[in-house]
Amino acid sequence: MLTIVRAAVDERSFAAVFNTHHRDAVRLAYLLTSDAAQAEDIVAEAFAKVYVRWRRGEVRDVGAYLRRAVANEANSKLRRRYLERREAGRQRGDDRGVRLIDEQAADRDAVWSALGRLPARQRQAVVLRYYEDLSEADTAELLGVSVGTVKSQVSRGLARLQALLEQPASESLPGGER
Amino acid sequence: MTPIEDRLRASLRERAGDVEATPLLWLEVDRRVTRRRRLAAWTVVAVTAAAAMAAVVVAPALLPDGTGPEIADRPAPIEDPTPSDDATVPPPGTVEPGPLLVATERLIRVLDTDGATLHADELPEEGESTVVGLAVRPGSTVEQVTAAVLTTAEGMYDLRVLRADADGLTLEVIDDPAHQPGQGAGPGLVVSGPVWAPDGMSLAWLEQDTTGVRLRTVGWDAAAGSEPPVTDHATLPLAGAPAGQLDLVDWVEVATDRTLVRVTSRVATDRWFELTLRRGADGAWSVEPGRTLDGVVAPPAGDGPVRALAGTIPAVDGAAVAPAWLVRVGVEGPVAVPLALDDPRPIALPAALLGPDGDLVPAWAVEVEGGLVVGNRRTGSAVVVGEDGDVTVLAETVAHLSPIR
Repeated sequence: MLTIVRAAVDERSFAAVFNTHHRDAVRLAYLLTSDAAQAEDIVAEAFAKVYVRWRRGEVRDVGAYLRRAVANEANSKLRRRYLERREAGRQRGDDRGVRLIDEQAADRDAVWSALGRLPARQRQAVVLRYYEDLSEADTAELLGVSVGTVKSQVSRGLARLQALLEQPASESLPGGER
Repeated sequence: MTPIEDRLRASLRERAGDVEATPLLWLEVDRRVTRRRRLAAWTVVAVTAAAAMAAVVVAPALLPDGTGPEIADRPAPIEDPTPSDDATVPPPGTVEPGPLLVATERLIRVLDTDGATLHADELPEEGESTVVGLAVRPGSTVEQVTAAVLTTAEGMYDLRVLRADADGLTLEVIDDPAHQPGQGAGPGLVVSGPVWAPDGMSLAWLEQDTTGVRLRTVGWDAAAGSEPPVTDHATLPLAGAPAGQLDLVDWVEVATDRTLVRVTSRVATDRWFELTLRRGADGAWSVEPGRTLDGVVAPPAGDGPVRALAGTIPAVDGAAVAPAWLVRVGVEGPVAVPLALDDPRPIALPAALLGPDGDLVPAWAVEVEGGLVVGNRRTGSAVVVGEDGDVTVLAETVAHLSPIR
């Protein structure tokens, strides 16, 4: 009986954890993948992994742990070469509608499109730095790399974005940089 | 803040603001959490059931009153070599073995998803038969399992067909000469396998003796083991194959008309071997003229001998199918290498996997959902490896394992 009661409490508590964090997690996953369905898959897997350690009382900061789980999960998916190629096709097709309402909106669309053409590690670094507002040190810790690597990835990512945005549309390479 | 940084922030925030989780997300999380609970149950139940079965098999003489043994109270503690510091540990791995066919030397069991033993059979002690290898036929379900089992006794090999369904488990020896391993073999015969063709219509094993190495393939028109066998059996001599101590690993599909048989060596230092097989119009499998086992150097070179491989990374643009996992023994011990990642970091495996000789031979490895199960056939030790590095030691002895799928 005690086990059953504890399981029920666990589930209710974890549902509360889910309610607190799931929106941020889905948004981060989407920014890392450009695919809404895959983002949910990544987040579901991340929550399930977090649950195991959360239940054992081993997670001090669920938000940070979940963010890392999402980044790792997204990375492991995107680093499979064959998946990346497939994803590139999806990303090109997933522009969530034409958004040429004004110039600013058009620019944000262009940036988003260019972001989808960054290599996975550069994309992770710039998303974590400029969406999550993580410091270089926190980004490095989350990605399991050195601060120098983060600096380099962000710098290259921004330079690449700049170059892509300055590039006439007709010169865009199909499939993006791999 | 530079202009490109401003533009990037604005774009990311706008995109993120567009995204909302669907109502199905919590249901999916709940389903996966339930699976984690089932995995834990699988490990515990498998260990407990194995302990009980081992007690029945090994120790009847110690039970003077003839009653059965008590079910073991609890399994041995599960070793988790992964440090638990949140700051350095990746999220925990999750491995979903699913239903399995497992065997020790003589005991064969069908396990349900939760590790419960659905069927069990034991090779008779008087014949001193032991299991050499087994493979579940593709397309099997836990309700209806078909598997090929290779056994040996007194230097002779038998191919058996295992069937398990609601009526129980049967294990029949195939008598047809075309389906008997070692027909016409020379002295010193060693047979490795069996493996199923990707479509489940043919079976292969590897024969090695003093006259050379050859791959044998057989098939059936109807159900495996039915009579009469069809004519697609073939003996494929592999001239120039590395001598001795080869282990047939699996048979995977590369393209519609091309398959690959993969082999490891217990003595090679840095490679595994592949053989391309094509099915002819008559249904028989053949090797291109002049081809034999091709050595494939494992990346990166110099990280210790390859002892097992498992799974496949799907082909891209006609590229060769690569293993999803390699098991190697480096200077610091055994590791599992998840090659499906572009930057595969070796996952350290416990030294308990090594045999008395300090090596991992003969090794076996099977890819399951979310990871790998790897073991030492000689010692029966085995571990479950998650894709992100979690390693769980199985407390039960497993020498052979094949997922039912």
